[in-house]
Amino acid sequence: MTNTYKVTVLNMGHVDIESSLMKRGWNCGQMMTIPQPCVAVEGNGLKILLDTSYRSLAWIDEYCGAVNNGKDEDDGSLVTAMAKIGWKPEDVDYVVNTHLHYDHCGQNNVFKGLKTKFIITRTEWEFAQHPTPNLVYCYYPHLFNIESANPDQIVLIDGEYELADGIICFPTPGHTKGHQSVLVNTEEGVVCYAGDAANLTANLHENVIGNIIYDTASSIRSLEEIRRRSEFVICGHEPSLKNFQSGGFARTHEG
Amino acid sequence: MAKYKVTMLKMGTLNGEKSNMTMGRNFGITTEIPMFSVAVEGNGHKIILDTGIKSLEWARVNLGEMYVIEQEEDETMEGALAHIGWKPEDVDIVINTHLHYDHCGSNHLFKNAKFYVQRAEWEAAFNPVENQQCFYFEELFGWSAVRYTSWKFLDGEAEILPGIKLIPFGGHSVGSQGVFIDTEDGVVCFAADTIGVLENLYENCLPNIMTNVEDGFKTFEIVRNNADFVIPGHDPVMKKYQTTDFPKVDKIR
Ligand SMILES: [Zn+2]
Ligand SMILES: [Zn+2]
Repeated sequence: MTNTYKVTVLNMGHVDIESSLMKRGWNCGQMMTIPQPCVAVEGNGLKILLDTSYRSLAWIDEYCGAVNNGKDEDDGSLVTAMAKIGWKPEDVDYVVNTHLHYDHCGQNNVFKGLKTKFIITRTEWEFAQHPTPNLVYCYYPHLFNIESANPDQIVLIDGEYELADGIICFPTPGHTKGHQSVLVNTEEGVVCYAGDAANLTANLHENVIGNIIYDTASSIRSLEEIRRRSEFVICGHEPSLKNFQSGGFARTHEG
Repeated sequence: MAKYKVTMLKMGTLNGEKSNMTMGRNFGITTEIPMFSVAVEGNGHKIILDTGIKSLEWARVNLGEMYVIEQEEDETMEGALAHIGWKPEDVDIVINTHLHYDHCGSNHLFKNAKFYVQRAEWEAAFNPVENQQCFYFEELFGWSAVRYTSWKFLDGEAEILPGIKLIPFGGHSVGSQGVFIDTEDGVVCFAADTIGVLENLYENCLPNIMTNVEDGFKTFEIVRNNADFVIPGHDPVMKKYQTTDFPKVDKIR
């Protein structure tokens, strides 16, 4: 019998972004407000965090230029959000980074020197050192290198990877070269945390990819891999996600 | 070494073209093609090999004119399990030899099981070659039938329990596998459709639903080298609830 886990959305805040970056060709030139969530997974004696959002709004201001209308939830800190579900940083066994964009590994540093292992694809790790020019603005080595995590905490994986019974990381390249998504078995069914392989639920339902991109063909293919494997989905920047939501996730398959 | 008890479960009968079972022979003859699953018990496990069709109703809607199907009351998966005193939720392991509709049709019943299949078969099932498209139905093996986290994908040979070995079988489909089980009498191989009828093995005559023929012939050798007895997937010589006297791999011996 496969283990089940409890899945909880922890949102660090919202920023505004141009809409067609989230869904190619959609509302070009119009801004939309998106959340910057992480996902807490608990069960089977394990505490696992999927992504760590951004470092802080002030950090974005300093490194990426002005934040567009950024608003923190609470103080925007992962430690605060975790405390609300009864977690301390030292409890966390694994952090899975879907990819190493600044808004997905920003608070990895919370776990530096602890027992926490960071699960990252080897391809993403290598790509993050030398990203393609269009994605350079998304990668900041100090967020994931020794300044934020000790080398012995980094676990580089290749291909599909069963992290624990009922939790599977699988490659979903396209948004970046080494992107991965995570499947979690829950009471209701298998939930896929898509990361930015699907920014919005609409990417999956309409089979339209985002436009912050490494490779379009693999990005489309990744949407199909998510559909094959899951019943529910948590997309990386879906506006309808609620902070601390722990059920009633969007259906991967429309209708 | 653990020894297991093996019981034949009949999943109904197709009436169809006999030459489908034997390449280049028996043309134009309509024959009874029984479908079999196998219950395996021992070492604290209840295991099902293949799960038959989903239901008679499903077959009528989805297979159309291809076959006429009959199913007695104890030839549904639930009916057959009840006959041997099992409930679907007791089964902790399901092994799919391959993902044709008559081998994974009742996968959805086994909520507590881990499902073993070759990854190559899983991948091929979503994009079958032209001549096999009529055998694969995503609703039978996809997310709505089996949770992805319940699959155990294999890349090649694996001894999943002491005395239960899975070996890739080329030929019938891209990623078929045979199941080799230790019993009191010797090693029994459930060959499913790579040896659909004994004539395939005894006369070195391939089944006619085929991918690569060279792989198909190699499979016969694998069975000859690794098993004492063989259970074909669709041979009328097999009996409902049979537990002993399985056909010998070497007919002469
Ligand atoms: Zn991203
Ligand atoms: Zn078959």
